Amino acid sequence: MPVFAALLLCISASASAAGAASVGIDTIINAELSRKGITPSQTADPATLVRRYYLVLTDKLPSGTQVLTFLENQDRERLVDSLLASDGFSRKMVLKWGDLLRIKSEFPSCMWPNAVQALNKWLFDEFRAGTPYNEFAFSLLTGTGSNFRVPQTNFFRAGSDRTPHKFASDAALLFLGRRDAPEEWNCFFSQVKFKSTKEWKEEILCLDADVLPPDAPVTLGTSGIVLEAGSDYRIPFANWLTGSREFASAFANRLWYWLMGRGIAHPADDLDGSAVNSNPVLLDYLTGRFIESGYDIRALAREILLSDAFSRSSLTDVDGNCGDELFSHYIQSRLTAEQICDGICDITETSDKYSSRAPEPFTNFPEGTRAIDVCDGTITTPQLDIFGKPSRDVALESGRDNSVNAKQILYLLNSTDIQAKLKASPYIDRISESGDIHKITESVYLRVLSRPASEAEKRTVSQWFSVEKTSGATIRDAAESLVWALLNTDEFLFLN
Amino acid sequence: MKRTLSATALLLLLLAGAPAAFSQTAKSVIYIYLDGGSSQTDTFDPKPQAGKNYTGKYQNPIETCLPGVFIGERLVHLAAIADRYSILRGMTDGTNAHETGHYRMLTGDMTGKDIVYPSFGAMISYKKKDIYDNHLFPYFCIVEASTRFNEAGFLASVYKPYDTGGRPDSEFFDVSGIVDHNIPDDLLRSRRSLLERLSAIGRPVQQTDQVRKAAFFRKQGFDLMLGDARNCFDLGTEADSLRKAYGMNQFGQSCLAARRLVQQGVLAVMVRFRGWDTHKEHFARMDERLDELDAGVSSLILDLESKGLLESTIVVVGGEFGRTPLISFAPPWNGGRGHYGAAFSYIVAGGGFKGGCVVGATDARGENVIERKIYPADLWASVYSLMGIDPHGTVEHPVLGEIPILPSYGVEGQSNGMLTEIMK
Repeated sequence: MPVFAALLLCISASASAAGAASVGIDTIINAELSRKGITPSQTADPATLVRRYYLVLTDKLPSGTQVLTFLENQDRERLVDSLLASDGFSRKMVLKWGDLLRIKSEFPSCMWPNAVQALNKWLFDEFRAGTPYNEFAFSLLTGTGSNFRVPQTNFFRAGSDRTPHKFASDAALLFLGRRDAPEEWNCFFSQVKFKSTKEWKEEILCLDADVLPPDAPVTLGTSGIVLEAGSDYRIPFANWLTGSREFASAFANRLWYWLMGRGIAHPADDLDGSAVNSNPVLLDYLTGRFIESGYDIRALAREILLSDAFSRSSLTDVDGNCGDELFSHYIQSRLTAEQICDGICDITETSDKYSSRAPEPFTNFPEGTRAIDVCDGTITTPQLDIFGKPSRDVALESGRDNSVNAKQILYLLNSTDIQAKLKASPYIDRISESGDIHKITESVYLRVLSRPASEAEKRTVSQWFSVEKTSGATIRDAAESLVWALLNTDEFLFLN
Repeated sequence: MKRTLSATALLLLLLAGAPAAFSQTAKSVIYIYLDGGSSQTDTFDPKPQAGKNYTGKYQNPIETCLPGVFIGERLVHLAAIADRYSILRGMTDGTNAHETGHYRMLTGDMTGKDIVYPSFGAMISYKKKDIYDNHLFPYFCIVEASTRFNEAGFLASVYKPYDTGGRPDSEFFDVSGIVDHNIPDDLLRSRRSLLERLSAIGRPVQQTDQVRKAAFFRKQGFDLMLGDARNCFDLGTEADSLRKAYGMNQFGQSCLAARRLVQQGVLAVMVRFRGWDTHKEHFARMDERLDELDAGVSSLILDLESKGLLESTIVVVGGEFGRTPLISFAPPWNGGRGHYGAAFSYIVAGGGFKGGCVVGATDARGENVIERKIYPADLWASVYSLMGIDPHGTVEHPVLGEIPILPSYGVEGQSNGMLTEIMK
């Protein structure tokens, strides 16, 4: 019997490896795994997968209907395509890039609210339109004009330290995953200066025509570039950068990190320093695919998302980090601040209030705004802070802290906020109306954990309730306690 | 023989002369943060001679128990105990912007680099992380930290303050995550049992370090929620007369809560007292704020003293800057005061700070420091030193490695030396 099972597993593995979209990624990863003698984890069950797809691509928990639809058709391609085409994916990209671009009204970036909104809108439009990544980077590096009207100029306004070297270092970090830029690059940004206008916090990025180019050619990669006086020195730099293989590779690696929980070269933003590349063949393959696609972010994401590597279970026997870096299983991580806070609001059908009384002009988001749409490092809530929403003071991936700490657990167990949301929840009101503890259990499992409840779970809840009833608990009390309990499980807290 | 020092004696002398960093007197610090920026001339540096355009209606400062030392006329109780604290009239942080002033005062950093430092409370928690052993978090903020800058700076988010939330002045002071009067213990226990039973039969979750941590914190959390620790927040156990002396308002009761926290050994508490950004209706609002400040801070100092805690607790009072000494009478301000970072006042008490001293002085209108400038870094170098933390020490930055905890300390124009004149 075990031999037969192993054989079956073998056949199904090779069958899926032959699938056109995933042939490259999986053959490369599996070759590395078998070389190291590591058995990859099995494919995650469909309910785990649907939750993973929604969270990774949109930061949003799937609704009960969305879960059931996928459990029925199990059509990964259709799900991935619809999620990639959704605004939810564009919003997630705005969030990730907002972290990198340090989009924030106040200290220390001091972008101020108008510019924050303009830049967020620009990013959203770019991602929704599917602008090729090389063009996107080129725009960010070469904008001139008002920071309200040409939002990408705010790339140069994120830090308090506005020096050519800082601009060059920001470009190196964002687009090449390097922590610092060579001093020779400074000259490309030496013309950048700002003029203020009569509009509050408006700044015009302009080029200082008096800054002369260096006499000698500037080395970029393997070639020397001669800068012409009177031209925009950023343009030859941006042309070289976006055409380099290093540029494509750095983003392929970063996107892999965002989707898979770990960079192939990790950390993804210290590539010339501490990063260790655990599978150069894989990264090279993805880089090539990304360039071939015309720098299409969605095409690259799609290939990763439909790979066997993405769909593996997080459960593993492989010890320590070895399996992590070889992607023998899907890397389990705590839900992010936005995923948890929006998730709790979605489940309970309540909302958080986002506003900023400072700086002027005051910012008030409409009722029902989701954390992922706030897009400002300054505007936060205590719970977002507790779960590690990045303050966007640095453009490092490590600025987003997804580790578990005691405050987070206390928040989930007994915070005034959670208790108030459970009390006020229209969802709990509604499901309690049936008066049927089995139906309630089914609904709550589907809503909170994105999977059907097992018979054992339904039985346990019902037995627990029959005892609680004798001490006066109502059916609504039971529903509330059940939502509370599931919010406090590891199954909810972790993306697995 | 008597004139030559032995090597040992020389070493002892050197050790004794070393910065106070190595002789810790304070165990905790309470920072009463006057959020928005309090007027120096209406509080601890009155200038009655400057005329009505400067003083407004506060023309009659009162003499404190220290002969010749006057403070604002509404601070009656504080005037009576001026021997317990020292007044810093030379404060300056050189900015009129809230977010920058806030950052500078809370961190002591005026370098203006792209490195964002942690606040005092986060820094103290970090420096004491290996020796702090307490069921309560090391750094609390009553009731909520400002979001104007990220409290933990470049340190991990675990160093951020624990916001109590809630209303210390209401019948039930619910401290989010620890105490909720709406949730009886029975309900918590019943829910815990449901959680445990369902976790045992749920889908398996890979047991990573993070998952094990979550389990540990869950157990610790229930101990905190159902154990004695929460009594710390039960202000109802204090005598009514004492509660009233502090003031039955949010600020007064927050001060009382702060005392109870340091009594439990918490390292740092920030009481965030809001409402000092008085561009308009300055005097009407000051009448109320100053009375609350007077009652809250004077009661805190006396209460700490009577509990034997003042010697080991530093109290720091002040905001992100001062306010313009000249009143803006023109519309739309109609009698308000603007932001003013060039000169302002703080008071410090306890934990090794002497009382009854005045450090620094401003000109006739309270507009410029003319004697003994005190920068944020000087204040925090002194506090850290009294807490047994070397102000020249370092902190680990995730990218840069070990960097100074107070980068401005000792830098010309950003520092003017520790407050040795008032350190015991």
